[in-house]
Amino acid sequence: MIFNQLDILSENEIERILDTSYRILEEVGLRFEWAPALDTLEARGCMVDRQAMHVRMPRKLVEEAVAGMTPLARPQDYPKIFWAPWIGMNLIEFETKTRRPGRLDDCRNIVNLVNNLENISVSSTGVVPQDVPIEIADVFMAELLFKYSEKIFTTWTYTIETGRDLVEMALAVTGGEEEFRNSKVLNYLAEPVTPLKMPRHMLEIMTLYAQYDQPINMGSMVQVGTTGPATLAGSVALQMAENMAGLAYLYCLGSKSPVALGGPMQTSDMRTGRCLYAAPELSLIHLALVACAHHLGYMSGCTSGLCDANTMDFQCGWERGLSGVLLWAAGSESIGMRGEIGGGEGFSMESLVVENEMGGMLRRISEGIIVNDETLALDIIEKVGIGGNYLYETHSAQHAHDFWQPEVFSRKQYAQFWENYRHIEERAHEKVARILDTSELSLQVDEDVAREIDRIVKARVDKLKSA
Amino acid sequence: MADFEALKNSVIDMDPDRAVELTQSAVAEGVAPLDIVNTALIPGIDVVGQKFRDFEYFLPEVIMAAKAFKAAFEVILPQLNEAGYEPKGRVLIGTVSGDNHDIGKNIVIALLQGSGYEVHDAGVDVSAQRFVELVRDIKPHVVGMSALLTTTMAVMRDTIAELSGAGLRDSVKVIVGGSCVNPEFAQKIGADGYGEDASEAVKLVDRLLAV
Repeated sequence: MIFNQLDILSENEIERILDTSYRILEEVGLRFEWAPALDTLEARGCMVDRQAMHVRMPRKLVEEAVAGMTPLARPQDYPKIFWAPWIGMNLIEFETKTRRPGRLDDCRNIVNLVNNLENISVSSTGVVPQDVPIEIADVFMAELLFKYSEKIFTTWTYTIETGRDLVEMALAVTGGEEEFRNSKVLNYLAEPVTPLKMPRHMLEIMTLYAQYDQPINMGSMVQVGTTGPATLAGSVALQMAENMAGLAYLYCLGSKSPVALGGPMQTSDMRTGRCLYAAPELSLIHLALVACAHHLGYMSGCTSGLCDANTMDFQCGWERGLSGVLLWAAGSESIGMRGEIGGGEGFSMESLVVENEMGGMLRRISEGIIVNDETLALDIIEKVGIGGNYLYETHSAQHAHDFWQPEVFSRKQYAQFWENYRHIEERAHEKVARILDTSELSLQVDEDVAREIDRIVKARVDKLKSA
Repeated sequence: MADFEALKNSVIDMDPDRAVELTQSAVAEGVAPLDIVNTALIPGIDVVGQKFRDFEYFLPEVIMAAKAFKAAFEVILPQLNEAGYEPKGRVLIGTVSGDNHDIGKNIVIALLQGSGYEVHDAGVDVSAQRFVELVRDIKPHVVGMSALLTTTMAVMRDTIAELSGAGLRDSVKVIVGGSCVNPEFAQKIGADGYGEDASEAVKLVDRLLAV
C-alpha cells in the first residue's frame, strides 16, 4: 500500500512557501517574550533587540536547525494512527443536547471510553474540568491520564509551575530521569501567539520539557484572514515560520527533543471573523502544511476530522470525513478523532464513538490490498469454474473475517431499519452507556506511584490556596 | 455646499482619505460637526451594519468602513467634545492579565466602533488593578474582558472583585468573551453578560445599554 500520493503543491511551490518562511524569520522577525530565550538566541547569532524582545533569525541558523534537530518518529502503527480527542471547555450532554462546562467525572468517563475505543490511538480527557481550580486544571487532567489511560496521551500544560508537576509525575511513573528521557511519556503542543509572538509560558515549558528530551509539537494556530494573511499561501508560510522559529529555539538550546511541525491552523469566516474548523480552505492549508513539513523531513501534527456542524448530521459526517480522508491520503501522521462538535464548542462522547467507527474504516483501507498467490486465488477460481459459488469454498470461510464490520453504522435493509429506527447518535449513546456501565478505570501504575501522583496534585492545590 | 451623500458614501465605500477630505471641506464651510455626524457618518455606518447583517459585506469590509468612519470622526472630535457630544455608549475593552491574544478583542472593537460606540482599547495583558484605574479615568458604560488561555480566566473573576472593592461595580456593566469562556462561567463570576462572538458582543452591549 502506498501512501503520500496526494500532492497539492509542486516542489517549486513548496520551496517558494518555505523561502517566504525563512524570509519572515530573517527580515520580519518575532517577539520572544522571555529574557533567557533572548540570551540563548543571541549567543547563537540571532539579531536581538532586547528592549522590544525582537529577534531576527539568520536563514543559515534556521536551516541548520531544520537539518540538525531530530524529527519526531512516525508512530509505530502509522498509517493507522488516529489522534486524541479534543480537549475543550464544554461537554455536550446527550439527553438535553445542551453544552455545559466540563467536569472531572466527564474526564474520567472520556478516559474510560477511549480506553475501550479500539481505533483511537492517543488518549486525552476530552474536556477541561471546571469543578477544580481552573488555573491548575491541567494537573488534574494529567493525574487521570497518568493513572488510568491505557494508551499514550496528550494533554495541556498551562504554566511552568504545573509543567514541573507533570514532569514530577512522569518521573514517578517512569521510575527515574533516564527512563523518563527514553519513555517520551509527555509531549507539549507549543502554540505561538500568532502572528509572530513566542509567549513566555510557552518558551518556559518548551525549555523544561526539552531538558528531558520530551517531544515538542510546534503547533502554531495561524487563523487565515485575522492572524494571518487572507491568502492561503501566505498564511501557510507564516505558520511554518512560527513553527520553524520554535524548532530553531530548541536547536539553540541544544535540545534532543524530537519535534513535529504542524499545528491546528484555522480559517476565518470572512463574514463574521469566527474560527472555522471544517472549511475546504482548511483542508487545503493542512495539506500544504503536511507537504511543507514532509519536505523538511518532519512529521506533521496537523488536525483534521473536525466539523463546524452543531449536531451529528450529514454536514458533520461530510466535514469530518472529507478533511480526515484528504489528510490521511496525503500522509498526515495524525488524523483527528476529536469528539468535538460545532467548531470546537463542545465535546460529544457519542460523536467520538461514531468517529471511532470512521477510524475503523480508514484502518481497514490502510491495510490495503495484499497481492500474493493466496489472495489472487487462481486455484480457487479454477476449482469453482464457470457459474459456481464461492460461498461453498473453505477459502471464503478462511477470509470472511478479513472484512471490516460496523458496530454503530447500520447495514440493515430499508424496512428493518425503519422498523425500530434510532438515530445514529442514539445508537452511539447506547455504546457509550454500555462501555461506561461495564468498564471500570483501573490503575495503570503501581499504588505507590499513584500515591505520589496524588501527593503532587495535593501540593499544587495547597500552594494555590496559600497564594 | 457640504456633500453629505458623498461623505456617507465614503464610509460605505471604505475610503478613509475621501472621508477625511469631505469632512474637512464641510468643516471649512462652517457645517456644524453634529450635523456631519448625524447626517452623513452615522447613516453611512448604519448602511455598513445592514450590509454586514445581510452578508453583503464581510468582516474586513466592515473594519475598513469603520476606519473611514473613525478617520472622519477624529477630524471633528475636538469640536464635538466642545459641543458636549455624547456617543451611543463608551466601552473599555482589554485582554486580561497573562494573555496576549488580541484578535478576538480587536474584532469586537471594530464592530463596536462600526456600531457607533466610543471604544477604549486597554490592550493585552491587562491586570485587574489596571482595569480599575481605567474605569476610574474613562468612566465607561461597559467593560469588556477577553481571554483565550484557560489559565487567565480567573483574572476576569478577580477584576470584577476589584471593581466591587473599589466601589465601581455598580457604575459599569461587565461583559466577558473568548474561546475558553462560557455563559456558565460568566454567570458564576458575576458578569452581566457573555458574547459568543463579535456580533453577539455588539448585540449584548446594545441590550445592556438599552440602545
